[in-house]
Amino acid sequence: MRDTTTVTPTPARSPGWPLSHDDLVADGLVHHYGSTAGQGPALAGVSLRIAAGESVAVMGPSGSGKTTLLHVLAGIIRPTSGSVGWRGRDITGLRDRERTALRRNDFGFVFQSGQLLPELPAEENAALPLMLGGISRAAALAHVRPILDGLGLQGLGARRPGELSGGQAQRVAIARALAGSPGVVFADEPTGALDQQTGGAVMAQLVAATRAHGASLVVVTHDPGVARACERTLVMRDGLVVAEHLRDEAGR
Amino acid sequence: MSTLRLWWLVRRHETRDSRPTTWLPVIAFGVATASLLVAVSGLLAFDGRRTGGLSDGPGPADPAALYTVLAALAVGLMAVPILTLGGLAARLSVSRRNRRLAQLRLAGATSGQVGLFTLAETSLQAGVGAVGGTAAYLALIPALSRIPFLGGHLGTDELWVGPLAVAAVVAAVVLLAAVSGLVSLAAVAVTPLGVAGRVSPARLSILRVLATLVALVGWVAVSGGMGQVGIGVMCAMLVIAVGSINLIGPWAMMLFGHVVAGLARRPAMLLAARRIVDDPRSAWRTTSTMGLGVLLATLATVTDGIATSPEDDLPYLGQDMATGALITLAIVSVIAATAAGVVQAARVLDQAPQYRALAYAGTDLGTLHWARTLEVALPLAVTIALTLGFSLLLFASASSFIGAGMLLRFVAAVGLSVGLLFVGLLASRGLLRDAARLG
Repeated sequence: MRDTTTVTPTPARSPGWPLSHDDLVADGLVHHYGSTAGQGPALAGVSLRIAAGESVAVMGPSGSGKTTLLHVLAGIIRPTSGSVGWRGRDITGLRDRERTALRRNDFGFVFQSGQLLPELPAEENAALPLMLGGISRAAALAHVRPILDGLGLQGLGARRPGELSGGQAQRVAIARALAGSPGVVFADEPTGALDQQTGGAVMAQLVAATRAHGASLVVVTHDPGVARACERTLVMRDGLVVAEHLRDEAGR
Repeated sequence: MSTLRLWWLVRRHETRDSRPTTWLPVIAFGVATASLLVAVSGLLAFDGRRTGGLSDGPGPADPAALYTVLAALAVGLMAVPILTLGGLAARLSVSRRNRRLAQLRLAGATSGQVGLFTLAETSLQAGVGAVGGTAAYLALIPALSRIPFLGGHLGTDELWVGPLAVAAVVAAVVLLAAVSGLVSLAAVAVTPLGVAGRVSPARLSILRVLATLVALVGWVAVSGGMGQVGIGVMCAMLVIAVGSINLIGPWAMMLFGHVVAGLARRPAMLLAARRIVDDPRSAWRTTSTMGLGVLLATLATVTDGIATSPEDDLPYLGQDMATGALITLAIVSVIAATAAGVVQAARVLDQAPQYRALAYAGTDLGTLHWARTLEVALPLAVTIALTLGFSLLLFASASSFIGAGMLLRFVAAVGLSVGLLFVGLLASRGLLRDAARLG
């Protein structure tokens, strides 16, 4: 992997990527949890740009701030200071209801595990965000079935999560994240509960599927193998981005 | 390490998240104990007034003897929901500890230690709940003594069951909790990795419907021969006929769930229907006590109508049966509300990761609350419809005594009971808010 080490506060930006309305831009993010006295910040001034359609891995030891960064970028929590620009708006200034709508309409999420409802078959799990957004069940199912097929889940739509393997369940979760045609997919340790081989296959499909849907991908991971699947890797320590690596043409 | 030391080690570090798994079962055991003591106190009070039997030579039967039989019938009818509530509480207590138990086994605890640990925890919760339930029963005695029976009132000394009966009820609740806890522990496939499979549920057999029809035909035959059969046989047949609704109830839930799931267009309805299909027995258990409430409300309405009939020899019988039915309805409604609260709380705790994932994906809390409300309302609608049909069938011969005023009281009684059940549901709103909290 070609090492282009940079240190914030200048925004980390992929060289050669033109600016786009669908870029996710963070500027000077600082975040403290609870009382600030005697505790270091979870984010200590992070600035970055994630270009439209780009896949970025965020790595770092436990406590480095990578999950906090993901939560702030996705509008799940408001930072103590700083801004996150998305499609012309600073999402940190939005009210809770607006940020909820933003997550429903613009973002998708993939977690390590425990996100599929056990009572619903795979295709209804995948279609759930669309139905929650007001789309009829028939239309939502018709929309997600090709996505499930594209992820290698043909014929498994009627199975419940308990009847799927770990890798299959994660692919259903990926389908669910992509169902709403999001601009950005956020993934937190998406292969953490899978064996290495399955995890590698799932990660490859996650990157390919998000690219095919024109979405950006932000993956929080501690696994270098997962990071290698992404075009760019940001390394965090003590709430700061301390290094940035680009994947070369050989995929290293 | 001894099991006692292991238990103390785990209990010391109980987090805020795991506290509902402690106080919810305690409340449920308390309600079960108080309900049982109130029911038994009525039975013993009437039994204490008996001077003769149901048929004591020429002349009228001893009213207190008849009342004793009816009170025993009420206790019999309440036994199932009380046992169900105790079982639900024990299951909640055990299932929330599954992950912890799996972790203990990974750390080297033996399966015997884990079993003993579960037994100790559940029994302790039942014991604490039973003591609280006993205190509630004692506090209710003055109010119960004001209720008119047999043209007067039952005295507070008559309603005091005595220390032996209290000890027996407390012991029974603790035993129920221990047995239910161990059965629940055996039923859940807890491996060292704490994995439990969730596969498509097997369909319930139509034999349930056939068995229920046989029980109903039996009741119609026996009730039609009133006067030729003893009241003991009549009551036994009534209990069997009423009990058979627990056979057809889950089957009806399963059918209803499949139909609604097929027709549902919106996610809240779909989710509620799928959950019914996933576990129709649980859906029935959550609301079946309410069904018993409908039956009792019908009984109260019908018997009050009988009291105004000139054919009535015992002047207070109809009125007292109506009063007794309403008291039983009140007890059953509290049990139903507690059971609904326990089941819903257990479900929220069980599916906290899924609720959090839905919140991350932009699902607002209102939608999640609505889905949970439908999850109770849909089975409740099935239960009320089913038991209303049962009630009309069971008491068809007495329907001519029912007037408009009684029907209004019936609607009010059922309405209040249903309202209480949804109050039970409200108790877990805070849990859902916590489960869906982000960041």
